[in-house]
Formats: sequence, structure tokens, C-alpha cells
Amino acid sequence: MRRRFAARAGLIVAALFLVAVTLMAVAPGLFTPLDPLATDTDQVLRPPGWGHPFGTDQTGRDMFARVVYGASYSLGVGAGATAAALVIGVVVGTLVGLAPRVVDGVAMRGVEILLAFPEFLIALFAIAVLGPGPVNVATAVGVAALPAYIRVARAETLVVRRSGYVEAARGLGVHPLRVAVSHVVPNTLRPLGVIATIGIGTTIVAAAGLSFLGLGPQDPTPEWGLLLSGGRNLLAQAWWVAFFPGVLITGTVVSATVVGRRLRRAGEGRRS
Amino acid sequence: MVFRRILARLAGMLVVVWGAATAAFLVLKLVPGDPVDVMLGVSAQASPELKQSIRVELGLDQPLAVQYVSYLSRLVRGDFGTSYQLRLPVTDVIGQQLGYTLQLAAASLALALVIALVGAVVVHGRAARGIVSVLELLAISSPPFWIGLVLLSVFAFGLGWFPVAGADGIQGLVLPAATIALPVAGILGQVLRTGLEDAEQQPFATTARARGAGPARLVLRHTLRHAAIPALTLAGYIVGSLLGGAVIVESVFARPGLGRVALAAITNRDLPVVMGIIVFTAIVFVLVNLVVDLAYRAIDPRIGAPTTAIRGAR
Amino acid sequence: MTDAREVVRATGLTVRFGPTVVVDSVSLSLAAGECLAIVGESGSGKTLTARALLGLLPDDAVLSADELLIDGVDVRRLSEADWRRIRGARVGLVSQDALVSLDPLRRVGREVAEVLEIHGDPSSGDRMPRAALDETVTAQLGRVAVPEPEERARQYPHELSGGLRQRALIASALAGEPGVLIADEPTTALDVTVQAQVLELLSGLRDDGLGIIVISHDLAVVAGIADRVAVMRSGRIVEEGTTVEVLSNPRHPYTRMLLAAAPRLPATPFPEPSFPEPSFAEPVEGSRPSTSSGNGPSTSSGNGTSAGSGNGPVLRATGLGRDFRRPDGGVRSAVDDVSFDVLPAAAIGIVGESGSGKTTLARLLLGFDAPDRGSVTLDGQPWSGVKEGRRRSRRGDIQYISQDPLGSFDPRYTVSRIVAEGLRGGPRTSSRSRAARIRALLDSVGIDSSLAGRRPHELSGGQRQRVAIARAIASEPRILVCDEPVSALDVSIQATIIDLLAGLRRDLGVALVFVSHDLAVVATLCDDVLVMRDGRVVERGAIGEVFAHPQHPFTKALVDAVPRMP
Repeated sequence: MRRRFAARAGLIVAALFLVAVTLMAVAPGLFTPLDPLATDTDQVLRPPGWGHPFGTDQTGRDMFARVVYGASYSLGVGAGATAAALVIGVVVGTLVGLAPRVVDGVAMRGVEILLAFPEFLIALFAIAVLGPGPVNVATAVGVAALPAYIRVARAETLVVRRSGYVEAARGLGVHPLRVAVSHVVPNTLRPLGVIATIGIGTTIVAAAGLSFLGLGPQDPTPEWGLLLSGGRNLLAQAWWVAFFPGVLITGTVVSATVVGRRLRRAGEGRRS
Repeated sequence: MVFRRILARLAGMLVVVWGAATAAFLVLKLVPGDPVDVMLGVSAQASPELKQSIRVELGLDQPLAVQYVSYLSRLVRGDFGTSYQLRLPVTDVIGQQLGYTLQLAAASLALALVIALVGAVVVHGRAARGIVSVLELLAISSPPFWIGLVLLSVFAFGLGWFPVAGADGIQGLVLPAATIALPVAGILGQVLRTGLEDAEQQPFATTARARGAGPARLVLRHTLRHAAIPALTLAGYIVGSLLGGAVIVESVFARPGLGRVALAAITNRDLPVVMGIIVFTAIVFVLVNLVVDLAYRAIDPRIGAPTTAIRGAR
Repeated sequence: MTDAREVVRATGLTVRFGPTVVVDSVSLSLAAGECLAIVGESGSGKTLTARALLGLLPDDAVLSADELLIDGVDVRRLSEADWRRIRGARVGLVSQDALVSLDPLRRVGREVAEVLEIHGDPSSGDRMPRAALDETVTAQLGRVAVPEPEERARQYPHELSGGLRQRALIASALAGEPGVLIADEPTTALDVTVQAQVLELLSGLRDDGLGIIVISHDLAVVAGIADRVAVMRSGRIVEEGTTVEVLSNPRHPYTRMLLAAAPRLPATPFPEPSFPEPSFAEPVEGSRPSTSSGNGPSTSSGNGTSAGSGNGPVLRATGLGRDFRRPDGGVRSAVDDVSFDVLPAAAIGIVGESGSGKTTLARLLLGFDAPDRGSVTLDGQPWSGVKEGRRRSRRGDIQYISQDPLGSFDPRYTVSRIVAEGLRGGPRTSSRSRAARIRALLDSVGIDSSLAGRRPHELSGGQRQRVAIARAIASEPRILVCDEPVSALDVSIQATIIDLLAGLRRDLGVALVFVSHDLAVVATLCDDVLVMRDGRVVERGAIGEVFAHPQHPFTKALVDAVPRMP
């Protein structure tokens, strides 16, 4: 009982956190009246306190405002790249799953080779090709996420295609197109939605990592990875500059994972 | 039979490396911008004649097919080209830095294995397991560069136990290795624990307990092997995390290594080095996959060929 | 047997999960050299009772008992460490499927040796050196009649046949020389002929002085081996007595219901089938090789006789064959030269053990798979070898009931939507009359319309099979192909589903092709039977005739192996 209560409380906190971060991305003005770019030489490197809940950086910019305004880029890249990868992945994966065995074999070999690399490494290689820049970072993490969606979409297509209910529909004389629309696609999408929810988190971390290395947006743009990288040189004097952006990233990723896992469990309960 | 399988296997490995080399070559040829400009630097005021002579010297004036063939033939001879930036053979650039990164990767892997095993095997009881799984979730979700910064500010700047930067001795290795190891341990621990719990639910575990086997015997003789199978599928991912982590960690802790080389090459568009690193990574993955495959066969005797329909429904 | 040493004694054995009592004041006793059967359906508490005797209840279960003695040891207050000294040494466990009950990653010999590694030499308790271990393992495998025991010990469970695996599992439970063996559904995963051998082995061990508790859902299986039977229901023992007493003169209504529900081979002479006309177009002879000769495809039904009219066969299989490639590259014929006709409203059983090709045959009949040789006609029209697009509109005439109804339902669909999918082939109707039709269909299979909004995972096994049947009859088919439709169900549920199918045949005139491993089930439902082995029909004929006077040796073995009530 207590375990279930803890799990439910965790789920609610995670969902609220995601809502808050989304609001930050959409309407940062709701959270702070301060300008993330405004410097103030009287307020340099103030520790967290009243007025500056997350402290200030070396030019006196309010860290809370910078973190709040940073949400839009990170979340935008996370959600945008994931959505693009999901859509392309579903189309390619489903087609590969329905394709003749030769096509399937060759395509999946390629995808499996890509899958052996973690997303971050693929994103790095993609940046090597595309060159640095904020838009290229989004493209790179999207490309990096793609193989996983292709593989899952294909695997799910195969599972659903071989399932008893598709055979049953065939036995009832249902037209293949209708089988695809009413059984294959919806049942394939369900697990993919779950993976995409968790994937948003991974994508955000990968994008922030590239920014951290200086390959994405440049100062003074408030971006979580970039803020952390700015905090690296201030660690000795001002831990808060690097600390709070990291808390936001971790919080977002944990929340997305918790919500995603909950969705997955709901899906499994329905299946078994 | 066995001999033929090994041959097929080796051929497959070569195909993967060749594919990576070709992909790297093609993609990097598509990159906009003149490599000669990159070599000379943006500020250089080189005459067009000088640029042309460099181009001829590097064979960049040849048709693409000729460049590709000579690239491949040089690769086969172990010649990865010359770095535009450092004016050194790529093999030397990679070779000089490889040791640092290998050291870091090995330390990280060892640490991750220890943490994951302790979390999955040793920790017992519902409450303790709950706490461990929350910690694992945090470790998986935190960006590695942030973990590195937190470790730095607590243990280096705060407590002063470890150096802030550099690659000196064991002391300098602890924090960087921990930074890479924590997320890896999180994911590995999770998979191991789920694998152990699944195996414990299997009928053979009940049979073993009905023979009087205690928890230690059950884990060591039975369930750990079963849990190792899903953990092995992570091997490629883990090696990738070690390499990707190296890029970030070497930057955070100002350590020398392959990651620094890769980052510098990417930012400075030093294409031969980038290609070299891609091919090198492909070779590492092919070798890892070979080892993983052999390990699967060693652990699971059931891996073999099942009956297939001649033209059955897929 | 009454003077023999008592090896298990339990009184007032109760198991709770929180406030829920799942085993309720069970009392039982077992003497050395005796076999007690605990029989019940799923959820009766029989397995938890067995687990309690091994101290292997789930963590959240609470055990209490007035008395609980295993081999003379009071085990009620034992610590986990003390229990480990009892398990394997004084009481052993054999469970259902050796493929998963033996560790699949370890060699059979290591599994048998494990109990000796834990407890040491059974006679002295000393640690056994490796050589002695190997010797004992070989001896134990030999004791349960595993041929070439030394070689088998080096193999992995998946490399052994089902019967050998089960023997190896028994050997691993006996190696510690326990006084009591608990066998939980020890033969359920096995083919009938193998089942008979394993039961014989257990009976021999009992005669050598081992006390055995057999847990089973199947009264017929335990009838041959048990000295006493305890019938469990909802956590209680409702009836206990000697096997002969309980089976011949059951006192409790539940026992009577179980006995009545259990399908069995009737004694000769076989009662007249309820359908006077024979369902084979060809004259039935006692034993007949499976050739496509006979009358051959008759022309009377070949020229477009339309559905529902005429007396031509609904379905005709002619010389059907289907090949699969073996791992070694050779070719195995899963179905070979099978021919038969199904007349309207006939019921034909197809019987065989696992791997006999009966499921492949069913798929060929349904047009889910194409034959490599021969052909299938439906209502006189070609059915195999026809493009799926042209077959689709005729699929309503031939419907399929599978062993796994849950897998045949889209998990997102509700019951009424599942049944509605079966109506698709029919004429277009208003949504109101459609809803009424769905209600009527659910009603006809005994599903309350209050369940119409449920999803498949919220239904019981029997309910799921009823919904599958409702969907199948929605298109008013002429023939139903049923592949093991009741083998996953409890006996009492099995009986109701068989009744339902028989009723449909009577009321709707639908023909049945009933594929099953279970001779007794086939006997209660079908008029005629084909016996399959290795893809070929080895015997065919009227059911009473075939079972009363089997001609082919395999049929004889199959009929003899069926567990029978005394």
C-alpha cells in the first residue's frame, strides 16, 4: 500500500514538473519579471537568496531568469527532434517491417550498426558533418534518435502482423488495408508513444551536452547546457551557476522517464 | 562448418568497417567549405596559387572516385592521412592520446560494474531496493557533464580530496571515472536487477530452492547467468557511453585524451582526424560485438538454429 | 500400507494473503510408500498447499497450522536456514514443465548434482568429491530409466525430449533421497503416451517406499497412480477418500460435477452418434491408408453447387502436403497426403500428439497457409491456391476458433467491438440492428450483455473462448475449424464450451473440424476421427469404432495411454 502511495506521489510530482517546465518554455514571463540578458554590475556572483533564488552569474545576470528562459530552447529541441524522429521512424520502420525480407535484412543491419552507438556519439558525428550551431544541434540529436524508433516500429509491426488478432481479422475476411488501419498502426503506436516520452529526456541531455561542448547556441543565449559550461570556470567561487541548470535538466529527464514508465506499465497491463 | 562461420563473421566485420569508412568519406566530402581554407585558418591570406599547390599535394584536385580508392588503399595500409591542424599523421594523433582514454574507460567500466553489481545483487529487502532504483533513475537521467561538475565542486573544490584537473595518477582518475561510471552503473544495475528478479520468478528457481539452495547459491549458480544475458546486450551501448563520456569528461576535467582530440577536430573541421576517429570507433564496435557474441554462446547453450518454413509466413 | 511410517502430517493448515484465506484448515497425512493426489481446478489452493509443505510460500503469505510434520520434523517454526536443510533432503519437488523447471543454462548433470552439493552424501551427509558426485548422478538418472545416463548428464535440458527431461527433473528431486516427493502437475506438459510412462515411473518409486503427493487438475490422470484422493475447492478439502471410493461413489456435489465434466473414452459398445448420417463421403473402414483414392473428388458438388444447398461436402481436402525445412537442411513433411471430406453439420476430430501436423493441417484448411501439394475446396469451389482477394468474401463460410482466444483479440477492443468485427462480412445494416445482433450473438454463447463493454484481459478464460465463438458464428459459417479450443481451460469450463459447440452444431447446422491432442474430448463431440502421426493419417473412421477397435499400433498406444477412471 505504502509503496503504491509513493509511486503515485512520484508520478504526480513528475507530471507537475513537466507541466511547469512546459509553461516556462511557452510563457517564461509568468515565472520571473527579470530579463535573462540584463547584466547588473552591483549584483555579480550573488549566492541564492531573496530576489535571486538561483543566484547571479559573473555579469550579475539572474540565474533563475536564465534557467527559466533556457527551457524554451532545450524543450523545443527535445520535443521537436523527438517528434520528427518518431514520425520518420514510424514511417520507415513500418515500411521496412512490411517490406520483402531482403530489404528488411539490409535495412535492419544498417540500423543495428547505428544502434550500437549511443545517441550522444552519433549526434557528435552528425555535428562533425553539419558543423556547429543551434539548428544543427537539433538536427543532430534528431538523427541520433532515429534508429531506435525505426527498430521499435519495425519490431512492433512484425509482432502485430504475426499476432493472433491480425490472423483472426484475416480469417474474418477483413481487407488488409482495414487491418492495417484498425489493428496494426494503433497497436504499433502505443509502445512508440511510451518510448518517445522517455526519449524526450534523452534528447534534451544530448542537446545540452553538445551545447556544453560549445557546439550549439553561443553566449549570451540562455541554454541549459551552455549555462552549465559557463558555470564550469566559476565552480571554485560560485557553485550555484552550474548547479541549478543541471537540476532542471535532471528533473525534466527524470519526470519524462517516470511518466513514460507509467504509460508503459499501463500498456502492459492491457496486453497481458 | 565452424570454420565457415568464422570466415562469414570476419567478412561481416570487414563490411561494417568498410561501410563506416565509406560513409565517413562520402559525408565529409559533402561538407561545404574548402578544406584548404580550414587548414590554413580563416585569417590566413594565402594566394590562390599556394592553395592550388596544396590541393594538388593532397590529391584534392583528383576526381572523387580516385580520391576514394586512394583513401581506401591508404586505410588498408594503416595510413589515416594527415591532420590539417596538427600537421601530424592521424594515426600518431590518435595513438598519442589513446592511452589516456583507455585508462579512463577501463577505470570507468570497472567502477560501473562494481556499483551495478552491488546495487543489483547485494542490496536486499524491498525498501533498500526501492531506494537503489530511485538512485539508478537519477544516475541515468542526470547529464554526465553535470555529474562531473557536481563531483568537482564537492570533492575537489569543497573537500579538496581530489585534483581539479589533469591526468596525474590514480588520484586524478577517480572523479572523471566516477562521472562516466555513474550513468553506466545506473542503467546496468537496472537491467541486472530486473534480470535477476525475472529469473527468480522462473520455475527453475523454485526447483533450485526446493533442493535447499540458499539465496547466495541461487544468485551465483542460477539467476546471475540469466541476468547476464540482457546485460550483455548493453555492451555496445556501454562502450559507446565510455567513448562519448570521454569527450565530455576530458573537457570538464581538462584531461588529455581521444575525446579532446575528437572535440578539437570537430570544432576546427579537421576532417582527416574526424574520419580517423569514426573508423577507429567502428573497429572498436566490431571487436566488442565479436566478444559479446562469443559471450552469448558461452552463457546460453540454447543459441542455435530453429526450424524455419521454406516459404512460411514471416 | 497402514502400518507404514507417516512422512507428512498436517492439520489445520491455513494460508492467508492479508485478510484473504486461500488455503483453509487443510488436514492431510501421507505414509511412506503411499501416493496421495490433491485434485482441484485453478484457484483451488492445491499448489499453495504443496508449496506450504516445502516452506516455499510467497513472501506475503502467512502460514498457520495446528500440526505440520515433514518426515517427523515439526516445521511450523523453522527458520529459513533450517528449512533449507529439509528441502531436497527430506522433501523433493517435481513441477510441471522440465524445460523451464530445470535451469536451461546448466547441464542436466549439474542440476541433478546440485542437491548433493548442498546436502552432501544422502547417507552420511559428508561433502562429496567430484568423482562420487558424477557417479551418483549417473546412478540417479539410470534409476529413473534415462538411457545412456552419462551422456545425458552432459546435455542441456533443451537437448532432451520432453519425457527424458521430465525424468531428469524427477532424478534431480530424488538425488537427495527424500522421503516425500511433491509432484505438481508432473505430466501436464507431456503427450499422452509419454505421460503414461512417467506415471508408471512414479508408481514404481511409490512401490519402492517413496511417499508421493501428486497435485493435478485432472482426476483421470491421478486415478491410475493415487491410493487416496483429496478434492480441493476454494481452499478447502471437500472430499477425501481412497481413489476407488471417491471415483466410484463421490459424495460431494463438486466431485460429482468434476467427474461428470471430465471427458472420457466411453466403454464399448460405443453409443450411437447423435447424427445418423456418416460424415465421411467415403465408406468408412476400420483402418484405411490415407490416400486420395476412395471416391476421389466427386463431380456432383464440383460444378458450382451453391452454399447451403445439396449434400456435397462443405470442405474437401485432397492429397494435402506441406513441407518445412529442418535445421540440418533436410525437408520434413509436416502434413503429407491427407485427404478427407466434411459433410454439412458433421463433426470430425483430428487427433495426434504434438508435432503430428494437426495444427499445420488446420491452417491449410483455413487458407492461412498454402499447401505444397494437393488442394482444398470449400463448398465445391477451389479454396487453396486462390488469391486472397478472391477468397476474402467467402471467408465468412469457414471460421476459426484458436487455443488462445486472448491472443486473437486486439487488446484495445471491447467485447462488442470484437464481435462486431465478425459481422463485417455480412450485409450492411443499421447500427441499431447491428447492436441487437451483437447482443443476440453474445446471448447465444452465454455471455451476459453487461460484459459487452469489457476488454479481453478483464474476462476469464472460458468467457474469452465464448466471445471468440460468438465472433466466429457472427458470419453464419458453414464450418468451424477449432484448434485445441479447450486445452487451456479447467475441466468444468471445458465441458461447458464443448456443450456450447455441440449445441451450435445442432442448432445452426455448422460443421466442426475439431483438432485436439485429447482423445476423450474428441470422443464426446465428434462422430468421426482422423488419427495423425508424423503428418500422415494413420487411421480413420467412426469414433466408437476407432477407439473400441484401434487397428494401427499407434492408435492402440494412444488409446491405451489415455488415463481411465476405474
